Amino acid sequence: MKRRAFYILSILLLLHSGLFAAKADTAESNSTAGQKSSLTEDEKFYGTELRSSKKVVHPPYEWGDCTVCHTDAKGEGGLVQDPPDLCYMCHEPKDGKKFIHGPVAAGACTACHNPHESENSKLLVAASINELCTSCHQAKGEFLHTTTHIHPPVQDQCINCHDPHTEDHLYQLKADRFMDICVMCHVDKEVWTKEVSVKHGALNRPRKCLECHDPHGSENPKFLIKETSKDLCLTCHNERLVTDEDGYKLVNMAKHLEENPDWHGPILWGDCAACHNPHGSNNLRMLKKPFPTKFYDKFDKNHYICFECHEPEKIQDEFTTTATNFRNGDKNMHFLHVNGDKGRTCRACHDFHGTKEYPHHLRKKTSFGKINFPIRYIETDTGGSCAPACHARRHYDRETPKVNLK
Amino acid sequence: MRLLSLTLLLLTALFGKAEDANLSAKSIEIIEPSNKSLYVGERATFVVKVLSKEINRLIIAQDEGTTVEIKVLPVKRTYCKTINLHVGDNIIHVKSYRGETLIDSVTTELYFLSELFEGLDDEPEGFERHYFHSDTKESSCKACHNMTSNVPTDGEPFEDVTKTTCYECHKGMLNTKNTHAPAANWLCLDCHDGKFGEYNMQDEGKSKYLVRDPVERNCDDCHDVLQEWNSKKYSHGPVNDGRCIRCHNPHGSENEFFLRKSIWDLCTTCHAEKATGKHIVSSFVFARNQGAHPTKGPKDPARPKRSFACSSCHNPHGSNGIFLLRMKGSMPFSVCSRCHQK
Repeated sequence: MKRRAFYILSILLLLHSGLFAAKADTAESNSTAGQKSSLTEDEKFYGTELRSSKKVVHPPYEWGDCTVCHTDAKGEGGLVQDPPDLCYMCHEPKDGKKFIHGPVAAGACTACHNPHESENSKLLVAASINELCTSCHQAKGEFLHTTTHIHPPVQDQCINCHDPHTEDHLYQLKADRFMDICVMCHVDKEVWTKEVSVKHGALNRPRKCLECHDPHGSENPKFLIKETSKDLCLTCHNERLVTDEDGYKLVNMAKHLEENPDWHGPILWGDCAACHNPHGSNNLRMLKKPFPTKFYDKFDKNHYICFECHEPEKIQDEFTTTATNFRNGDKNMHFLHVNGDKGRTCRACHDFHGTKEYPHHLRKKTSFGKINFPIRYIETDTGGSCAPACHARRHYDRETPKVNLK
Repeated sequence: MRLLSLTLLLLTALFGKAEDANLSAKSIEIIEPSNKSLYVGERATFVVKVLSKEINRLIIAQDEGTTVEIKVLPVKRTYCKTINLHVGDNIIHVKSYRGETLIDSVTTELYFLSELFEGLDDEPEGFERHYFHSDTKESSCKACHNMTSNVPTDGEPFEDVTKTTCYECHKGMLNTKNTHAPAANWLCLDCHDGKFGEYNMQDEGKSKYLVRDPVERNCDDCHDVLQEWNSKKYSHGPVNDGRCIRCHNPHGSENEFFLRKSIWDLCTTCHAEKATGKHIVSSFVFARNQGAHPTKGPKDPARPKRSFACSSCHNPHGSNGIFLLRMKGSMPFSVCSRCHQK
């Protein structure tokens, strides 16, 4: 019985001493201030090593005054108060906010802090924050060791986002978990998403940033919650969504891609974000570069995102035998259709997501005014023909140029 | 009482018989068009009913000598044939033959009214505008033709346009070099929706496929230009009237932009005083310029791929410049710098 009381007392004493250790730590950091100022901002941020150069000792323990915490001078008796009240005799209460870390709420300060002495700052019982946290949060420990892409602040230390004691936001986060916490660092994204003229509706969905990203990390680049951006985009774009800006009814892309299996390269690779900026942009449909909205437009390669990948020569060279296969002999049919002040835009004939009926990503129907005109394309080995809205059936042939009378 | 009704029946029978006897005097009947019909398009369809079994051929003869022959088959009584009218008055004879013997000849006078020909652009007295597609008239077609339209109205044309019900009878009208997309795709009902406009209110209900006059709203549905043109300081009369079809043929044409004539010919139809081919511009009165600026002939220096025409300097739809000039700012002569760059 006596032995048991001794243990309890010593634990309480240890707890009590933790309070002073914190102060000692402050003093220590002051003494090494000159050394620390040479660190870059990043190093300060990512500095994870808690191991102290000197042994950190809880001041009451250092003084040898066990009675600060214990009922007897030897520290063998019980504690003068039960923790956490024992600790709060000197330290500010750590449970004052809306959400409290389990051990704090349970008064188990010593779960993390050694009340007497430690090799680590803050008298912590582990050499790094993440080691400490994952000693209980074992699943997260597993996650940190096995996941390919870990969010750097997580890799660094959990307390970059979570307060280890108490906070007003769920999971003791320093700000709301869906966006506010993210933009504490990603301030550029906060500005961008607010200032762009074409915004992504996903940011208005309940989970905001977390609709797409896992803040801890994931197997996928950019900590995306799905394997590719396409998989991710199609979790929402599997119905006809409406844009916030103008109420435009977007196509049901999942259905469109399912029905039109001849996919444009970037979609084949699963990368919607090759063309679209998921955080919004100042271009049509959040495209990364402009793209014409209409059937006709003055040709300028800078008006098309297409020429980020495709060669503009396929439009600009009046005569060619290499730049495009859409030619009648060496007469470039792309030049004829697209170049000039009132050129037809790519969208007139091509569907840049997926097609089914015709090769070359030619769309089955071209939209003009309120009508969807079939293009009625027929391919041959050396050319082809079409009978769209614009003209009667006209032919092109790379080897034997055709003469079209109508 | 019984006797009386029997007598009545007998009388009715006799009267009916008498009428039959009258009809049998004629070997053919022209169901369409009625005499003194007025057309605004160039095509007129004759529907001829052969009443006598002796007839084995029909000839439709136009006054300038064009003839069309139709073979009459024993099993078929009604025959349709579409002919092209010339502008103005047309006298058309439908003749029925037994072998080489002329049995009957019925004369029909039709008038093709075209705003593109001076002197022939006023509605003549005694003629009535011709409409075909009324329920009454269609009833005589039903035996051979499907008269229920299957033309899409949702802006999704058939992949194979020959499947539209209009195609069978109207296919000939699209045999032009350039065809307007809604017509070539047989979305007839996009314009021929049976509605009337402020200029053709009197035609309400006369055809199931009436087109609104002015037609501009139909055009603007796709072309989306009205707002811009109407904001111009000056606009061209036909545009002001909303009658795009005065210059453009909405079905198709041999000319660019589906124009009813080539640009220069079209403009000088109304602006006949410019038809000398010379256009007095004050700075061009000198002898070396032969007293005027040409209005056609050379290539258009400002539009390399096109020939020079009225529209090289004037915008036929509307402009903020006087005389619909394609001028920049407020200086009329700035239009000259389109070509004369020194």
